[in-house]
Amino acid sequence: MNELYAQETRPQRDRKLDTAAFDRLLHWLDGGVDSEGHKYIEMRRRLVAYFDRKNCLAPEDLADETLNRVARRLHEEDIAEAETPARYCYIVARFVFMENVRRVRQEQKLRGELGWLAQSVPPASQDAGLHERMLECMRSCIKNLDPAKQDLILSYYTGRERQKIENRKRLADKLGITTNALSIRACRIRDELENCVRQCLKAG
Amino acid sequence: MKERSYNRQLLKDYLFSALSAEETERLDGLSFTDDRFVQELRAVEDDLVDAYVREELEARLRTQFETRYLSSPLRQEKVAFAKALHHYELEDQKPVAQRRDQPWALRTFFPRFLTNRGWQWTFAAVLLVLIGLSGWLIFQKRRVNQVPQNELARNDAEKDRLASPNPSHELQPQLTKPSAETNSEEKKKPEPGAAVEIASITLAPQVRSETAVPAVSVKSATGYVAVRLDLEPNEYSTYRVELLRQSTREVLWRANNLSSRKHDGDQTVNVRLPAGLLGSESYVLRVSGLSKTGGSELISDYRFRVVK
Repeated sequence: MNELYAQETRPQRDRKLDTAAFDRLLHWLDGGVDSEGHKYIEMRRRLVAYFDRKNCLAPEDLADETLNRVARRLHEEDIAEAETPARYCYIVARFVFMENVRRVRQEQKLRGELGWLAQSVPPASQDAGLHERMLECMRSCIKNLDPAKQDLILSYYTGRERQKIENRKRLADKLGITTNALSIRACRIRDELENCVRQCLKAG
Repeated sequence: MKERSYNRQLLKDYLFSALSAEETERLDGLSFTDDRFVQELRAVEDDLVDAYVREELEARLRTQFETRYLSSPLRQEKVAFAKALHHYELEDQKPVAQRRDQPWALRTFFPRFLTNRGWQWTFAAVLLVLIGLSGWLIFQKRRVNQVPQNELARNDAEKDRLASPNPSHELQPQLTKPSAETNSEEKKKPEPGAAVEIASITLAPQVRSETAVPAVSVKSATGYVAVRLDLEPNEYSTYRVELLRQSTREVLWRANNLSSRKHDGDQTVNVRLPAGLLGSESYVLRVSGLSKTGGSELISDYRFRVVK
């Protein structure tokens, strides 16, 4: 999907769920095993990534809108048996996405501003200060990682091209796992690190 | 285990939005329902972003990356994160290389140490304390080393005394650092290891009618002149001794806070004068008592003559 779709970040109808509806959503996503909200966070993350890959300008808003709709339908209909939570969320997300595409096209037509889309994508941050702050957070977050994870994430990215590939093979052998499993493990640590850096930047 | 219906290249094309609508929709579905697919997709995405940041992407992929992938703020954020991670790795490269050969404790301590400003300041402070302590120990060692050397010289002086008709007495080496003339004393200090002679003399309180001024012989090899000053009865326990040139009354040397000793029932103060200060002329040693309140009182002058 090459076309860049945009949407305005405007208040959505019934955005907020009441506590009971939210609890019901958590329970349904957990599939009977309490994940302490992890399943909800993971599903929201998948939704955000999906809308982001579709070049939506406000993927987080659309992810929330999707989860809200799912929660409302859980209350109104009996969908628990029909689909797995992941599959059902995907179906709802497709509808939300298509609605978003239609709305954006209408807005484009109304405005008649064809150059608007390109301008609406915020440019990449060139803020040197931000990079410094991020680096400072990175240092602090890596320092706080468990030593084994620290070792793995730093070893995983050592070297360039061929050397890096060989290095990863050696690392995987050492850990007794496949390179694929190693990349997934490194990716998880990186996620953890990314979240830590994000929190650190927010904390300022 | 379920058969994989994708590979890394397909995942890259998916991220670059370069697949057909049907294939995209299939992978969209997997990105919700297949945990393994989700993990591999994230890993491929991380690798792609890293390769871009490290400038390892070939030109075609780089263009695709910039035009298709970098169009969203969230993905720009991922690139910013990857840049920071890469920057950190460059900083950490040396410790990483070292880590492989280091025991676990060092591997876990040094990266923290090198990146933690608190540790760095602590290390700097410890280093300063160690430098100061080493300096002090070297100074103390030099002082202690001087004592045996002086003991040898004192033994020599003792031999001279026994062989000489002049009245002379054993004196303890004077360790109190004079406040004046320190530099000249340092300059005149004999070379370590060189044989040093100590001349000695005992001086009694000056009597008005006394005309004969005691003399001390200072040779070229003489390093110090040890002087025992017999004190008149007084109430002080600490003293100041000054060396004055008699002709000009110029103070050439001074030692403060000297303690008196008992010698054959008399109170005495011992001082050691650097021989280099002394020429063939007359001098006065002025002794003052020091009170606890900081005041001083002249007790006595001791005249003597130097013969070279």
